[in-house]
Amino acid sequence: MSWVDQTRTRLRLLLAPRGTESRMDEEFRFHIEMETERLVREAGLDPQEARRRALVAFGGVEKHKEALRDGRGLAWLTGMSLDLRIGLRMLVKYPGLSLVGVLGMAVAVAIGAVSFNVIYTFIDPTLPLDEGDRVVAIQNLNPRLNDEDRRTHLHDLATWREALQAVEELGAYRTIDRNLIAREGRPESVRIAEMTASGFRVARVPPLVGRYFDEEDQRRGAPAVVVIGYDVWQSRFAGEPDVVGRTLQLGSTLHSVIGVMPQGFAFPVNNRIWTPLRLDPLDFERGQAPGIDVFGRLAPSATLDDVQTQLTMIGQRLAADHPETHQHIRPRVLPYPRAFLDSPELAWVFHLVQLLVTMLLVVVGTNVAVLVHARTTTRTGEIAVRSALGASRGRVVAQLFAEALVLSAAAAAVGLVAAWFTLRRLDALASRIGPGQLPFWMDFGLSPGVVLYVAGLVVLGAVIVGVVPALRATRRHVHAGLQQLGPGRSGMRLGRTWTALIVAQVAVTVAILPWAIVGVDSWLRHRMAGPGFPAAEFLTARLYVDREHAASDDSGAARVNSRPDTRISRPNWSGAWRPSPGSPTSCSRARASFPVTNRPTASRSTVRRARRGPTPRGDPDPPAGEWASTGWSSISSVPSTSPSWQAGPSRPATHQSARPP
Amino acid sequence: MAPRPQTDTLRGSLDLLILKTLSLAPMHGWGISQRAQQISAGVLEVNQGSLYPALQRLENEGLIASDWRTTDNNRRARYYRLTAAGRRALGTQLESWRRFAAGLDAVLRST
Repeated sequence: MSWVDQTRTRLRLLLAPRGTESRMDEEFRFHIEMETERLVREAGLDPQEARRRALVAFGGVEKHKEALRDGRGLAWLTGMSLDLRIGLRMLVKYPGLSLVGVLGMAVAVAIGAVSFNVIYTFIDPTLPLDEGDRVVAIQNLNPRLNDEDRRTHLHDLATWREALQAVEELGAYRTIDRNLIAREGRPESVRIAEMTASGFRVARVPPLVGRYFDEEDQRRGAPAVVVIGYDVWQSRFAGEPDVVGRTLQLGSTLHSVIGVMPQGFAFPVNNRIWTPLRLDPLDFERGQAPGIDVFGRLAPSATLDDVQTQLTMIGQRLAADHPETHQHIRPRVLPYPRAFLDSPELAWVFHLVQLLVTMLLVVVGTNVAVLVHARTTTRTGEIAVRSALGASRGRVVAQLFAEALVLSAAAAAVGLVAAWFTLRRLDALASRIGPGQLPFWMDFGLSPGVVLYVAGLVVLGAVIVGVVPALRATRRHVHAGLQQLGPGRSGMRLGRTWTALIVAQVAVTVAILPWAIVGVDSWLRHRMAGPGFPAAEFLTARLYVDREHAASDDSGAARVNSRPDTRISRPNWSGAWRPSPGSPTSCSRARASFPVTNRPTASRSTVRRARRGPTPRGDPDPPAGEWASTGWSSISSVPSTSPSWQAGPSRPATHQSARPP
Repeated sequence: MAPRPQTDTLRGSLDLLILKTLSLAPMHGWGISQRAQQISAGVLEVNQGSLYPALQRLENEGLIASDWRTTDNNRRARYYRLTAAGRRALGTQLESWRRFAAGLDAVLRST
């Protein structure tokens, strides 16, 4: 019988044991009946006597049945099922130990599962695209900066496209903040991806409606086009099928919608709106171009090593041709998701952390094992009887392992539920951080990998809790164990090992307890201290200026910052616009600080009204109401529709704020 | 060389007996025991219950296969038949048995 047939037979025996048993009974019954009829026919016996002789000739029916069962190779399974049932009974019989053991191990399992999910989501994520493991990122690493030098990517992209044979599609993108202007004119800051046409080809996801960019759309001077995501299509265009050709205003430019991507598509990072990348290397000095990120898809049968070899040669050539920018540059290739780790080569640190977290189960399991050992010592007589009846040491240890497996599995079930809740909260927190902040492939849900990891923890826990005490309990001679059955005998004796473990744990607990108390006390004091002033009564403002109003890489923030001490007067409050110290001139956001010059006269209720308004996605502060934008346009030359103006409760450590009415 | 255990010798004989019996025609378990007895003129009496573990073992090894059929007197029975691997094994075991018997015979005649 081939191994396939054997496996199929074993599975059938495992999953349908009753059918197998009934077939065996039927076969034996047929044999005995045929033999009985032969004896009646040939020997002239009466049926009863013939049947008796047939049974004698057959031999012990049960004995042959056992031989057949043993021959299936699944006898251990029958024993295991009995042991698991005993394990369940022990859980019920010792509720105190069961509760402590299950809760303690559940905590360790939950921490391990959450840590496993979070760590491996970061260091070993799977890109949910077709052959996602073949999508790679290419970077120029500058060891002097200890970081990638993204300003060199734009000029090198053309060289890589030409010379890199092991990558079949090379694309690039950058994410920028733009103000998406709704029909009613209220701006919303969104993070869009300016991406090359090859980006969509690398992702291999066809558009739901329309098309995505081609090389013609990337040409400077081509009409402004945009591809939108499913969520934007639903929220901005009500999911209407004739969305192609309609317009979307980004800043002051109307972009024509040419396509809609399917639900869930967010390549390259976590984007819902895409415009063509129109950067021309000729417009910038080498090494001074805007930073872009480069990605590609491995050519068929090419490996990362092939790409790295080619990149190294190209890098050496570029270093020789352009020593002023590339002397220290080291191009590298890595799996695309790894590019989002600050230090991909330090992934081993995360493995180490996960190992330490797993050790937590060892610590907790050891504690529970002490309790289980105490329980096992009261069963020494029972173990001795089993041994006397023929059970081997291995068989007894297997029984105690099965009992521990039940306890460990119950703990794992509770731990998994706790982990699931925790991961859901983490997922919600991650999505509140803001679109474009966390990559789209980072999913903090329970994955099959986590479940497998927990299954491993179950077995590890059962070994620590069950096998170790069992080996100690079965070390004694049968005779010594049988003596435990006598009246007045006590089996409660802990050896040197357990005593030492208990003493060590008490010592560690006593030693760390003061530090734990100090830590908690410090945290509580910090939480309760507060900012030292009535922060809830202050407002701060943040100005998002669209990139297209920037000269070169400057934003409107530059114009903002060049007009210090501009006074703003409103009916209900007044203050002066002053750039925050150290405000960068090249970012698309400017912070406003409002030193108080006049005492405000309006009531606090005005503030509450002003604070009510649509919350931009991801911004934790409530936005301002309508009082802000028109006033701002009178201060600077930035059009009033362009910046999105938000204000909210002050952040005491970072802003000066005007006192609201 | 240490003598082979008794169980191995008997087991090998039973396997050969079963394979040879099934080489003539497919048969159920009772039929195999009756045929072996008939052909050997009563010399070889198979322990009837021991037949079934041997049949299960040969089936696990792929030397025989089984299926349920209806007998002539309208009863359901499990029939066993020889597979191609079983035929090859039968040939090999027959050859070994003949060499063993010839060697044993030579030893017995010389003393």
